[in-house]
Amino acid sequence: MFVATWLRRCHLILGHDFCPWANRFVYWLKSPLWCLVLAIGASAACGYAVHSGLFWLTGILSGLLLLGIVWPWAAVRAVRGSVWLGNQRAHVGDSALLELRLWNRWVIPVWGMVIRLDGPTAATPLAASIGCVLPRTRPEFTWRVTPAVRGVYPTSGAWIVTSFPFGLFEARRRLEVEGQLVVWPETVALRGLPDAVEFEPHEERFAERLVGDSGDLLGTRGFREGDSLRRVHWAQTARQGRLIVCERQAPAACAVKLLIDDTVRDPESLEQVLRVAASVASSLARQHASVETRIGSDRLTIGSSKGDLSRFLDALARVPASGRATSEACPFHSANHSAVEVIVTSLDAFERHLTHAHSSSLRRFLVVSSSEAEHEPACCHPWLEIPSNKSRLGELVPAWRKACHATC
Amino acid sequence: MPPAEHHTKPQAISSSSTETLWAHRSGRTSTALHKTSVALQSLSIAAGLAALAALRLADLDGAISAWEIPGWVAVIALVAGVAAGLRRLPDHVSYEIPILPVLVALFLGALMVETGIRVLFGIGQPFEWIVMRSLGWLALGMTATAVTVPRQRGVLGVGLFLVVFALTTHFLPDVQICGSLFLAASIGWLVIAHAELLPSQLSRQAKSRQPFPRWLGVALAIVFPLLCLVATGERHLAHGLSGWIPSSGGSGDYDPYSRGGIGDGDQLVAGTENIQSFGALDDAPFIPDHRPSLYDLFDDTYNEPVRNEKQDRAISIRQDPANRQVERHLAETQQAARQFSTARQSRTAEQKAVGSIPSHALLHVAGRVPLHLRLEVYDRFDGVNWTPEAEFESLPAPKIETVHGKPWLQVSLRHPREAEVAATETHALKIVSLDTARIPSPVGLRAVHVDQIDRADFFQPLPAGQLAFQRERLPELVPIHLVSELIDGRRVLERHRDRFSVTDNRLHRDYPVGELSREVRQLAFDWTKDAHDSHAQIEAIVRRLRSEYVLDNDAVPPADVASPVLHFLATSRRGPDYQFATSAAVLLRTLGFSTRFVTGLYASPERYDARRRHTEVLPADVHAWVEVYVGEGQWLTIEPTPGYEVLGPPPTFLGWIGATALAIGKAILEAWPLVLLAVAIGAIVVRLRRSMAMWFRQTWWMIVPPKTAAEAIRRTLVLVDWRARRVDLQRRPGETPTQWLVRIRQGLDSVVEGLDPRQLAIIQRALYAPTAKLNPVDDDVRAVCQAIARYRFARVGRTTRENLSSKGLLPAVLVPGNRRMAT
Repeated sequence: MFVATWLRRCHLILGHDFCPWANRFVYWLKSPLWCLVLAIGASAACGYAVHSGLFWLTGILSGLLLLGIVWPWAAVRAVRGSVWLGNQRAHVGDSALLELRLWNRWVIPVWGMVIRLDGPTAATPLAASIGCVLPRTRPEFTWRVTPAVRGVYPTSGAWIVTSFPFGLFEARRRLEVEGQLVVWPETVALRGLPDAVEFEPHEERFAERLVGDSGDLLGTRGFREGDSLRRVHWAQTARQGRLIVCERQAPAACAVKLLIDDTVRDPESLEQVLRVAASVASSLARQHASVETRIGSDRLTIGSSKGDLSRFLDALARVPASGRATSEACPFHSANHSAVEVIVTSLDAFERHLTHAHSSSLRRFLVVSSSEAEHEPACCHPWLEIPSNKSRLGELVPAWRKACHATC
Repeated sequence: MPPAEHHTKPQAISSSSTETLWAHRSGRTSTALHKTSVALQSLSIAAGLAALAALRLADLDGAISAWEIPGWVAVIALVAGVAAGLRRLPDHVSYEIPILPVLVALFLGALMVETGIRVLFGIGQPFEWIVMRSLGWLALGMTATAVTVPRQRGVLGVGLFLVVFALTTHFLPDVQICGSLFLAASIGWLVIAHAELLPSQLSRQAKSRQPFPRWLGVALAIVFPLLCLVATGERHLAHGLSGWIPSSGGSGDYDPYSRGGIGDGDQLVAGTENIQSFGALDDAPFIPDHRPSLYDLFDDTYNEPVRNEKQDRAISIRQDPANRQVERHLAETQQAARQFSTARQSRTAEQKAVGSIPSHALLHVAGRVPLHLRLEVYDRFDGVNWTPEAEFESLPAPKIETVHGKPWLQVSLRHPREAEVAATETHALKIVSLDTARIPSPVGLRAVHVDQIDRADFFQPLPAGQLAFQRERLPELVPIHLVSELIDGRRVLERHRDRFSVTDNRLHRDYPVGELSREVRQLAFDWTKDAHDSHAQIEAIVRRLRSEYVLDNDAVPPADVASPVLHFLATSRRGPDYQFATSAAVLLRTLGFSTRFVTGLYASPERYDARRRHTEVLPADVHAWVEVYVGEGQWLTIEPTPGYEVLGPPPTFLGWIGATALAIGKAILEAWPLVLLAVAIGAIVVRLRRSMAMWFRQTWWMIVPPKTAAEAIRRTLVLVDWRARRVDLQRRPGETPTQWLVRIRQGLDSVVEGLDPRQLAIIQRALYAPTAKLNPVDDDVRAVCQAIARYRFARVGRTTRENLSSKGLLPAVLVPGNRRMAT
C-alpha cells in the first residue's frame, strides 16, 4: 500500500507541469511534423558525417514530409464550397441541420476533408469529416450538428481543413457561409411565479387571477365582515334571506425585471448565469409574466410575442465567452425599484453589491456560486443560490419552486 | 521522456460529439488521454519493437546468439501482455496506474547497471551506446504502456531516433530491414491515427457530377501535337515525342526489350539522310560480308561506290551473323597540311560558287556541342606561318583497359585536379569521309573506345594530347567514343594565385620581334589594363576581338603586307577565323601566356539534328582557334572568333529549364503565324463550344425522326435538359418531367411561353401510359415536342443569376455574390 501510494505520488510529480509558462517553447515538439524535421536533420547529419547510407533514410523521411505537406496544400485548393446555416436557433444540446455544398474542381479526388465552423471559443468548433470528394463533382451534404456551447456560429468563419494523409500539416481554406446558427443557453423548465403582481392588469396576458372588487363575476358566497357593501348581491340576498356577496376576479400579470450580470469573469459561472437567466426568462414568459430584461446596456421586454423571448435568448447567446468588460462599480444600479427585480449574478458580484447603498427589498438575487467560493456572505443570503457546475442546473427547478412558494 | 500530461480526469467522449473529437484531434483537452483503437496500438507496438530490434541488431553487430530468439519472444509476449492488460482496464483506472515512475526507472536502471559493471568488472561500453540502451529500455516501457495517442506518438519519436542511431553505427541489411519495418509501421500509424481522429463523417445526400470538360480534352488533343510541332520544329516532331516509347537507341531511353532504334544507343547508328540511309554498327567496317545490307539502299540512292582497293590495317572480329559489312569508297577529304599559313590568296568567283554547294558531312558528333575537334596543333609562329613542333617528344604508350566489358584506350596524360574539372564529357564521332588517321578530339582527351579494338598498338599517341590510328585513315562509319575532361579556368586560377602557369616550351610563348611585337604588345596592354588576373586578361582580349572585329572569310590582306596579323589588328579589323585565332594567340603571348594555334573541326550547335541527336560536321566547319596553357599540363580552349562558342559546363537544372523555355519561345516566335492561327482557332472553339454542341444536338434532334411518341418526348426533354444545364436548371433526381417543366418555366426567356396543362397531360400520357412504347407520333405529340423545344433560357448573366436565385431556382453556390467561390 505504501509503495502504491509512493508510486502514485511519483507519477503525479513526474506528470505535473511545473513551468506552464515554458510550454509554448517546447510544445511544438509534440507535433509529428517537427519531430520528422528533427529526424531528417539528424539522419542527414549522420549521413554526412558518419555513413552516407543514412541519406536514404533522409530521403524517405523528406519524401514523407513533402507528401504530408504538399498533399493537403493541393487538396484544399481543389475544393470550394459553402455552408448554409439559414439563421437557425437551437439550444445547447439540441441539433440543427446545416447544408454543405462542395465543389471539387480538379480531376483528382480529395480525401479526409474536415469541415469546421469556428465556435465561440477556440476549443469548441463544430466539425465533421468527409471521406472523399470525387473529381469534378458538386456533392451536397446534410450536416446535423449538436452544439455543446452557446454562442453564434461561426465566429470567424467556416473552413475546409485537411491534413490527409499523415496529419503532419493542416491546410485550410475558407468556405462561404450563408446565415448563422445562434445557439441559446441550456434551460430547465421552472414552475411557479415570484410574488410580483403587476399593478395594472392586462386582459390579454395574465399570469394569475387576482380576486377582488373588479373583474368578471366568479361566484357568490356569504357575507363576511369586511366585505364591501358594493359587492352585495341583492337579488340572492333577498332570495336566501341573508347577505350574499359577489366574488369577482380579474386576470393579473406577473411583472418581473430580470437583470443579468454579464460581467462575470469566471467562464463557468458566466455560462451558468446565462443558463439560469434563460431558464427564468423562458419560464416566466411561458407563464405569461411580463419580463423586462437587462443585459448590459440592452433592455428587452418579453411580452406575449414569441419573438421577444427569441431576441432575449439571442442576446444571451451573443454575450462574449469571457464576459462583458465594464467599468461600472455595480451593474445593477437602478433608480426605479417599482417592480420585483430578479438579478442573476455570481457570488462575488453579489458580495460586492451588498456594499452598495441602492439595495432594495424588491430585489431577488439569484446567485451562481463557484465550487471554490463556498463561504457565505456575512450579512445577507441570496434569494437563490445555484452551483456553477453545468450538471447541477437541475437543482434550480426545486429551488425556484420553493422560493416562489415561500415568498408568495 | 513522454510529453507531460495534464492530470485531469478523463471525460466521457461521445462518438457523435464532433467538436469533442476535434478537440481530441488537436489535443487540447484531456480527451486525448483515452485509449486508442487496437489497430493503432498494434502499429505503435510494431513500430516500437522494430526500432528496438534495429538497435539490438546494431548492438550485436552480427553476432546473434541462440538466446536472441527466445529473448525476443519473451519481450514480445511481455509487451503484448502488458498492452492487453492495460486495454482491459477502464480509462480512468488505466490512467491512474503510475507508469511514469516505471519508465524513469527503466531509463535510469540501464545507466546504473552500466555504472555497476564498470565498477565491479572494469569493463564498459561507449557513452553513446549507454545512452541509447537506456533510451531503448525507455522505448520498451513506452511501447508496452502506450495506450493513448500522446504516448504512442512518443514511442514513434523515440523509435525514430533509435533507428537513426542504429543505422548510423551499423548500416547492415538486417538493421535496414528493421528500419524499413519501423518506417512502414510509423506511416501506417500516422495514416490510421489521422483517419481515426477525424470527426464523424458526413454522408453525401446529393451529388451532381460535373462532366469532364471535353473541350479541354479536345483542346489538349489539338494543342499538344501543335506544341510539339512548334517547339521542336516540323523536322523534329519525333524528338518532341521522344521518351514516350523506349528504344534501344536514339531517344536515349534504353530498353533491352524494345525494338531497335536509331541514334546513340548501344548500337550506334548514323542515319544522316533518312533512317535507312546507312546504319553503321560499331564493327561494321571490319566485317567482310557481301550480303545485302542497309548500305545497299544507300548505294541504290547514290550509285555504286568505287571499290576500295587500298589495304589497311584491320582487326579480326567474331563471326556474328548479325554483323553487317560495309566496304565502300568515301569521298576524299582534304587532309590538314602540316603547315598553316595566315597569308592566303584571294578566292575566285568560281571557287565561291563551288564552295557554296552543300557537301556531305565529314563526320557526326553525338554529345554536347559546340565542340572543338582538334586535328592539328601549331606551336611556332614566325609572323606569318604557324608550324607544329618539329620533333615529337617521347610520349608514353597508351594502355587498353576494359570498362564494362568494352576496351578503352587510356590516354596517358596528366589528369587535372578534380576540383578544376568542370565536367567529364563523352562524345561519339562517326567518321563519314575524313581522310586522316588523326582522331578529331577535344582538348583534355582522356580515353578512346572503338568497338572490337582491344589492342593498343592500333593507336599512336601524338603530341598535344592527340591520338591517331595506326593506319592510313580513320575507319569510316565507325563510332569512336571519346572521353574528355573540361577544365574550368576560374577554378584553376583560384589555385594559381590569379596567374596561369606557362609551359617549359618557349615555342608556346615566342612571338616575332619588331614592329609586330611592339604594336601588338601595346595593344594587348591597352586592352587588358583593367584586368587583374589571367582569366580576366583572356576574357578582355576575347571580348575585344569578338565585339570590335568582323568575321569575313573572304577578307585577305594585301599581298604587300608584311604582317597579316598586324594588318588585321590595326587596319582592316576584318578577316577569317584563323586571323582571329592568330591575333589572340599573339596578343596573349605578348602578355606572357603560353598559347598554341589549333585547327580542326567545329561541331556547331546550329547543325544539331534533334531527331537523331547528332551534329553534322561539314567541310565548311573547318575552323581555327587558340588554346591557352593553364598549368600542370592542362590547356584551355579559347574562342576569339565571333559566332563561335566554347563548350561550357553542363547546365544546371534551372539553366536547362531556362534554355528549354527560351528554345520554345524562339520556336514559337519563328512560327508565329501558325501559333497565332492555332490560338485563334482554339479560342473560337472554346468560346463557342456550347453553341456548337447545342447546334449539333438540335440538328440531330431535327433530322432523325422518332419512332414512337415516348421517344419523341424523351428526346425533346433530353434536348431541353441539356440546354437547362447551362443555367443549372436541369432535371433533378426523382423529379418528373412535368414537374420539371413547370419548375423551369420561371427561368425561361421572356419570349418563350410555358406549356399549358393540356400539353403537360399529353406528355404524361406519352411517357407513362401502358401503351406508351407503341403510340405513334401524332400531331398533338409533335406540337408538344415543338413547344418543349422552344424552351430556351436567357443567357446566364449576373442579373439572370440573381433572378433565378431569388426564385430559389439556382443553387447558392452559383449566385453572383458567391462568384469567387463558384469560379
